[in-house]
Amino acid sequence: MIELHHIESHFPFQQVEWLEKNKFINTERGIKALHLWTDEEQMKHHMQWRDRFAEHAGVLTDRMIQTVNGDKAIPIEAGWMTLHDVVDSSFPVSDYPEEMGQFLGNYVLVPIEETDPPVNQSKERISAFIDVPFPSSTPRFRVLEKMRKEARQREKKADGLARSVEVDGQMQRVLAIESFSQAKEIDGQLFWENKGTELKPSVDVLCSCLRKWVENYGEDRLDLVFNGLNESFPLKNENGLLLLSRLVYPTEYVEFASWFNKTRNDDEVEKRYVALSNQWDVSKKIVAKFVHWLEEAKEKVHYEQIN
Amino acid sequence: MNKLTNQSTGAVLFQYDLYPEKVEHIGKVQKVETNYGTFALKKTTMKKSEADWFINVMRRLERIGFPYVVPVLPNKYGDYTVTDGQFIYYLMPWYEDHQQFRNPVQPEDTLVEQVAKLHSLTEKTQDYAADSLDESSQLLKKRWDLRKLEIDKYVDEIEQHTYYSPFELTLLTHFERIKFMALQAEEQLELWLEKANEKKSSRSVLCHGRLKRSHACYDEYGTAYFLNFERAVLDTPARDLAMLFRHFFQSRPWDEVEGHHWLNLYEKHFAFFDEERHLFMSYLTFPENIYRMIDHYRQAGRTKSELQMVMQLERRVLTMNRIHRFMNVVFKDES
Repeated sequence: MIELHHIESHFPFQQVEWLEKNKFINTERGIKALHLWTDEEQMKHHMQWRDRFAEHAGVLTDRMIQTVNGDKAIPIEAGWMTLHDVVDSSFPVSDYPEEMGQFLGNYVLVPIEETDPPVNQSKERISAFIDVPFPSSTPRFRVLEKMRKEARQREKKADGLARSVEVDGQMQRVLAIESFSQAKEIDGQLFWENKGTELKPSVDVLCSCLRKWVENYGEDRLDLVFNGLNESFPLKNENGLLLLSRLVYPTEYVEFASWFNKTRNDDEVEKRYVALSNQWDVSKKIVAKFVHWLEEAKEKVHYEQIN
Repeated sequence: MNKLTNQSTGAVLFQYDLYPEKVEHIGKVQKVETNYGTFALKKTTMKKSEADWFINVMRRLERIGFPYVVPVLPNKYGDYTVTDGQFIYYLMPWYEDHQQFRNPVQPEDTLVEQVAKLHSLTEKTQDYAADSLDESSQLLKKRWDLRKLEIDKYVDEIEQHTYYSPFELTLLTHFERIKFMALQAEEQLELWLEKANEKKSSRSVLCHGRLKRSHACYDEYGTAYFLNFERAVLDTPARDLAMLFRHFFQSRPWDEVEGHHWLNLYEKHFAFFDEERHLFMSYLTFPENIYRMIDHYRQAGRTKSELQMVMQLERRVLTMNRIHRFMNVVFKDES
């Protein structure tokens, strides 16, 4: 339980009232969101992440607002509380594919010290579910089995690509991006709202964003996203192969098979299958576009070398 | 990345939780009126490392309690500067710069006294290193020699002309005097080195780095508050004071008595060591201002007319002669 006077005494606001108890306050300087933390290490990691992210990517983000004493958090009964800006207006993400690509590259390259060792992709991608056949009674049995076999091929292909990368699949973790609705606008500029606390390998975050881009805005301007991404996260080297390997890897299938093997819920298969099928198509489109982009980029380099 | 990272005034001020009601551009500063008062937002081309040093300077001034400075305000995240792709911004409270005062004060006197206080509060004795003193003296001498050589060559060139332009004629008339002043500067520099080596110690202070009237705001009582510490350095106090005096010499009529008065005023709060006085004089006497005019005259696309150039050169020669008299007054006291 947080008392308003506790907030008033720590932060430089004259008027504070609840908009939503323990979640949002209204102040004379705008609406602010409260974030409660029980794990101090996690909170410190997020403080560092947001500060470094703002500095590295050069965009506005919901960093911790300082108290009058210059602290970034105040102690509360359950742990700590931090205060953040709330911005309502959405940034027109789809109008800026190149800029967003560059932003994503900067996002995944935020220099941050990890407490946990970096993720080794080749170990993580071994998934037992790909080898488990579906019972013949499963709805959509034939098509799912076909998908399973193709998923196994995709997995092998992805593994081959990852092995060819010198960095050995090691990558840092960054805060996962839930959706592009996290992009807000302040006076025409991007304000990035961080959500959740889950850290994911950087290339997985990129893959997930590319999928969200196609799902939300189609594949037409994906080339421009790659161009922008290439500015901050050069794709013509190992990064490109690593990204391709993760795009080829059948993430959507593994998620589906994992759900199925845990629940064995035949009633929901149809609904889940539709989602899987859509995601499968999206992955296919992205891989095709990305391979084409990489080939064109190689040709360009070759042409530049000749001339 | 313009749309994402090049911040508008609104996006910069958001980081201070300020929403402007009126923004007025005054040079590199934006006067921002908000519900919470009026502020000055400065846009700079400082690099990150320069900005870090600048903030370090401002915080040091705060720690030592130097009150004659326009403070830099932190934003809501505790940062003293805001960066976008190209520029670094910082915010200050708006200080109205008064030209008329309630008390009978001379703005130059105030500035000199407050610089002395700044130097006095930040004084630090340096470890004696003969090599380092020699090196800095040699560097300066080398630079001066190069400048002299360039100008000598130019004067040789114009001496070949059958007819001289008015500017050339003025320069030739005063050239021996200009050379003499350059020599005086070198002599003062040698005296500084000799005395500093004898003394086996030197000191540094926090130098503002670009002292001039427009880098201070005066309140209605004539108290000056410094701003623009972006070029601040730890260096000899002689450097800062010479820069300020040069500014005075160019911006208003003065004579050696007034110059001496300013120096006395400074030394009332922060007395120069003998060797520092020589260094100060050495900085002042070297005719760099005249050399710069010659450079400007030689430029293909110069903006000033021949007449303007001649008048300016005459004025600078006059200033140079005053500096010489000022130097004589200062060292007469010593002898």
